[in-house]
Amino acid sequence: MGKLMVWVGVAVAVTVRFVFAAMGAQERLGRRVEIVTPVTSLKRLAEGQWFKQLGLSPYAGSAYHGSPLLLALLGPMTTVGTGGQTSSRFHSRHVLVMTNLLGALLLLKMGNLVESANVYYLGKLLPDSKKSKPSVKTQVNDIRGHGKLGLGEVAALLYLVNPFTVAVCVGGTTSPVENVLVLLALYGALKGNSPLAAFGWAMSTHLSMYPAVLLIPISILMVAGPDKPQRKLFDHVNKIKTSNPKLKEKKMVGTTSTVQLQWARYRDFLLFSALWWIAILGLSAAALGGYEHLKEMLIETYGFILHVEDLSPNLGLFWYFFTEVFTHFRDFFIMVFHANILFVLVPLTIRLHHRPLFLAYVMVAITTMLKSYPSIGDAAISLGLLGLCTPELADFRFSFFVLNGYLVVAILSPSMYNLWIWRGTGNANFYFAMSLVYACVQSILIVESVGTVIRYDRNLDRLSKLPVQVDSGAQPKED
Amino acid sequence: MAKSATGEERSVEPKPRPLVRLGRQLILHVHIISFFCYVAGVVAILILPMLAKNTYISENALMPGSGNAAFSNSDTLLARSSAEELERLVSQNVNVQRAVSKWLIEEMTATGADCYVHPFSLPASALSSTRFPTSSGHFKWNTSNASVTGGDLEEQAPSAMSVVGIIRAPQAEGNEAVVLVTPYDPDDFWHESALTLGMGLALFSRLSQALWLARDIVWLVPDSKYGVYPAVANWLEEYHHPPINHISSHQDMKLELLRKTLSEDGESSQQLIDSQTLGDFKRAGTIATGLVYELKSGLRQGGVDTITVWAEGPNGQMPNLDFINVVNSIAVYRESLQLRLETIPGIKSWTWLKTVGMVFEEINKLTRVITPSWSFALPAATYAENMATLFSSMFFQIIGLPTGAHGAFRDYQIDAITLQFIIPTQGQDYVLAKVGRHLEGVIRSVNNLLEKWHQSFFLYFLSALNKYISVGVYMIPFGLLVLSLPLQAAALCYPVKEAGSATTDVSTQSSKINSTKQRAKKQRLERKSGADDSGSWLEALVLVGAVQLWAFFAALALFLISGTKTTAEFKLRCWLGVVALSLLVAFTVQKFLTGSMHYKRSTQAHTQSWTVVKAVTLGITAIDLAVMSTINFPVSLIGALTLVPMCLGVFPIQHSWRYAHSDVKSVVGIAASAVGTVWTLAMSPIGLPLLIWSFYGHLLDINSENVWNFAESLLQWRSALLPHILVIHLPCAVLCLYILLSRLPSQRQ
Repeated sequence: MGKLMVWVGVAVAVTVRFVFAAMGAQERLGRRVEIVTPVTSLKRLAEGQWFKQLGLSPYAGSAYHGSPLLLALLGPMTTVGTGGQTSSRFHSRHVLVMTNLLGALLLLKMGNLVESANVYYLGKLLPDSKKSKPSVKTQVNDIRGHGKLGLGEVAALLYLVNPFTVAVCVGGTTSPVENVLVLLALYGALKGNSPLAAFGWAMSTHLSMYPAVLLIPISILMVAGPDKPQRKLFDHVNKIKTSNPKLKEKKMVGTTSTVQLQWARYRDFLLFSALWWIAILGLSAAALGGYEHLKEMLIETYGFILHVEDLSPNLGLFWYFFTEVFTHFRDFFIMVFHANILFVLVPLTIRLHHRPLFLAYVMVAITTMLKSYPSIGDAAISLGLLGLCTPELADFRFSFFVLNGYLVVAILSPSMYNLWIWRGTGNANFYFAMSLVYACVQSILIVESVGTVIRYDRNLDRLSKLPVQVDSGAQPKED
Repeated sequence: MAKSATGEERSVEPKPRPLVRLGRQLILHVHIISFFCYVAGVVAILILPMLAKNTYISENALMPGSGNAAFSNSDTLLARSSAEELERLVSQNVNVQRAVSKWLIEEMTATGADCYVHPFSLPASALSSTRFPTSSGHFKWNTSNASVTGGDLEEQAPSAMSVVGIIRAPQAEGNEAVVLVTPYDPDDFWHESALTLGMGLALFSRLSQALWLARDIVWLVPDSKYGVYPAVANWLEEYHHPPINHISSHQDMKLELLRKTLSEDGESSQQLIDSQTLGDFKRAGTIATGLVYELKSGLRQGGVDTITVWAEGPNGQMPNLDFINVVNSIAVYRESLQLRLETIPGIKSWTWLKTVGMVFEEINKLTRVITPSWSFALPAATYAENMATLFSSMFFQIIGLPTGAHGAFRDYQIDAITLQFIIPTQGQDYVLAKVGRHLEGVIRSVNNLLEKWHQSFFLYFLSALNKYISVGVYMIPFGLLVLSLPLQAAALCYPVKEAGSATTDVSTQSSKINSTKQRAKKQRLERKSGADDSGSWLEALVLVGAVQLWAFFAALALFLISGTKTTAEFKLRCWLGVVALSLLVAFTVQKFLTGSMHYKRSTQAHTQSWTVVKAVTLGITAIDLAVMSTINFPVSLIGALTLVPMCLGVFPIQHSWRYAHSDVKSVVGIAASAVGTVWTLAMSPIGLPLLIWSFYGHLLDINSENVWNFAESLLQWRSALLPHILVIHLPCAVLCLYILLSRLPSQRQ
């Protein structure tokens, strides 16, 4: 049943994409500022391709602001034939649907890894004397046997049928590609595959800059493995075991056997990252026609993102402010706005270092909120990663509120945009209000999910310290 | 219900933060609060006329009435003599259109204006009135229709022809223009039309001599054979979107038509037609303002000459308030003309309105006893009149159709209104002079404007011509009405969890864990593993999603069926059949999906399933209404008035029954659930049509053909009323019916 559900879900997701595309939704969605940003627009990519074909720099005219590699990859698909715009869109749409499916597959695999890790660690932490372990096991059997979906399947389906993912895929942007590379990096790190993780990280950073912050969670994943309860809990359990002679013959758990720090893997990761970076820069230079163009590339991609040159309205918080700010304060405030992301990195890393995947989700979500050209494509991946943390987030309190908040933003922001731009009866404040609501909903989601995970850890702490005799029916591991 | 059970439980927990306590208090008294919110919302609607403020001219640049009007008696004479000449011409000629166009071309050319004709044919399909829901360009996903009109352009010769004259402003660069529109109908041409055109000509020739012009003046005389709106819309469409594809064929066709219409009667017109320029579509920069006016003969009302103003554009969009202020202030203060907003005649005589007005007056008398300076109420008669104006305006906006040709301008963000001057049969010249001076004053004032209209309000209601209710005021009643929906939704979410912990409370007691701390902890864990909880949530989401999708499908089906070529009655039946069938399909799919989820559902979850459905319904309805309020406010207000009591008052019949037979019953509770049930039935897809039929059946000719045609016209004009009915009201009503009829598990205890 579970397998059937997955296949039905995938089929529905793919059909929905093609039906929307056949109805000509691309024209409509491809113009929406919530979906397409100056950085991810396929139209701008086609423009860059034209410049390239004319022998000019693809960055001429400030149209294209993406990677030259992406241009080399997707560019030819945007200009197939002479007048064949429709056929070209058809091709790029196939590619985008494929990348979405690949992303879902990666999420599925990651979910399976996380799930087995969860079972393993919780089993260690709550040994069979407390009857928790069997219950966890039976629950896992439940999941497998009774048609319930596994964690990975849930996450993959959530990612695929998420209207944001669909809209971004149909609307024709490059963000599905960026997203799949982020997922690839995290998957590689989770699997312990250094070259893959390094490739995903380097490529996604090259494409959209912000995944650079994922270096922290990826490093933790490489060194210490997937999400697990805090180390002190294992220490505590170990202490009980060593003090209890009956349990002494049992295998030791905890730092020594459970959490092995794999520095060798991390060394490989760093090495491969450097390699990939060299390869990326080399290829970019080759695509642009010489190393002297690399500087232009950096200015037009990273510089464009950092300098916030395009102030057309979007769901982010930058444009409204920087249309107003005086020129001589502009640089200062640009630094302040960008530093917001960096400020939270260290505290979050300290607090959540034992849950690197969740940390990755939080970082992606924060960049989604605070980046200069956000789109709902970024929300799509952060919500996809959220799907991987569902066991820890079962106690999430404001799900109804957050769901309705996303709904409000999704419906009301096009309406407000219409009032402002097309009817002329509203003004920029109307639309910016929706940007604020969006930021508000996202920050509530982030704060509450971090809070929930911390609560979850605290509960695990309490549970592991319960006297051994207590017949605890409680199951910290839930679906 | 579950409140008393959890009361003691709370006492052991640490004292929560103030915000949480406030939230709890809100949720505890949610029924009372939402009742008062609703009542307050209704009262707030009723006191809107008292909250109205006096209008004022916000844009300084307008300077209304600052210049002396040059429109003199000689211009009045010109207006009257040209009207007489036109009447003579029309009576002599069989082809009215030709006679009028020829006369217009001659006269316009004589004033030295650029003149051209704009031939067009009736658009074969939808009149694209509003750009919503499209965000850019016109709605072209009915490509079949679009191609049909495109094809028609080439095959079918245009049958109507508007005449346009442009005065180039002597002191400007021609970047901006003001459009004057004087419609006439060649098939129904008589004294009034002649007078309108004569006045148009007099004003035009006066303006052609004006030195103060900073904007080009475009005089559009639309051939309103098919109505004024299509003619103006067609001209504006070509003004802004020249048909690039058919330029050559279009031009040929135009010349052909020109020859046909003008050159039949010999040599004089041959030399007149310098066809190269007469067929060219000339432009005059961005259109800043549009002014549609016509003269009607009628009687003086109360010794004052009146002007009737129409301002409602598509979906209730209004022109900038400053425009109406300018028109009003020049009319009242300079020409002593009285402006009047068009009202629906019946409303003013509604007795309940007068009663309400009197009640407010009485209340005000009482309050004045306490504080003498405190006076807020209007006299009952004024109140009724203002309310009638307000309600009429709201009614026009609810229907969503523009009330005149000014609506066509609104699609291009141009502010425009329609003025109708009443010209008495006696003392015509005197009134004509006033009208001319008024129009000249308005044009001069608009001419002074430096920027787009932006200073004053776009979102407002007028309760009288000098009283406006701004968006900040009229959103209050709406907010009060809708506020109770999220509140109640929160209240419904909360007890779901509380009830869950109440049962675990029982189980933990049986397992004899003494420490309260541990118990609380266990509860938290227990609640966390609430598969049943999330299960019922997921089920509710699937149900609501399915019903919403079905509603979208119903709207789509209406659109598709309206494209077929059959009788209206058959279409209606067809649509009803499709909708009923698809509802069955939607429910089947929903059952299958929830069935396949295989959640281990306890009875507890089952009990609560309807509350979860209700919570989700409330949430989505609140969001829908909020969105609708940005599209067409009066529609959302009506929606709030009708949907909120339904959403709040609906309980499963079984639940109400048990409640009425339980020990905790109260009269208020029983009454509330009874009202909710009756309201739900009345607003249901079957109840509402029956209700309308029984109340208005004798007034309106309601039959299936009319109903379908009405729906189709709403669709064509892209009125927001239709999406409201189909996408907001319908699913909400169906979900409420579902809740009403949902079964509860057999009673425990």
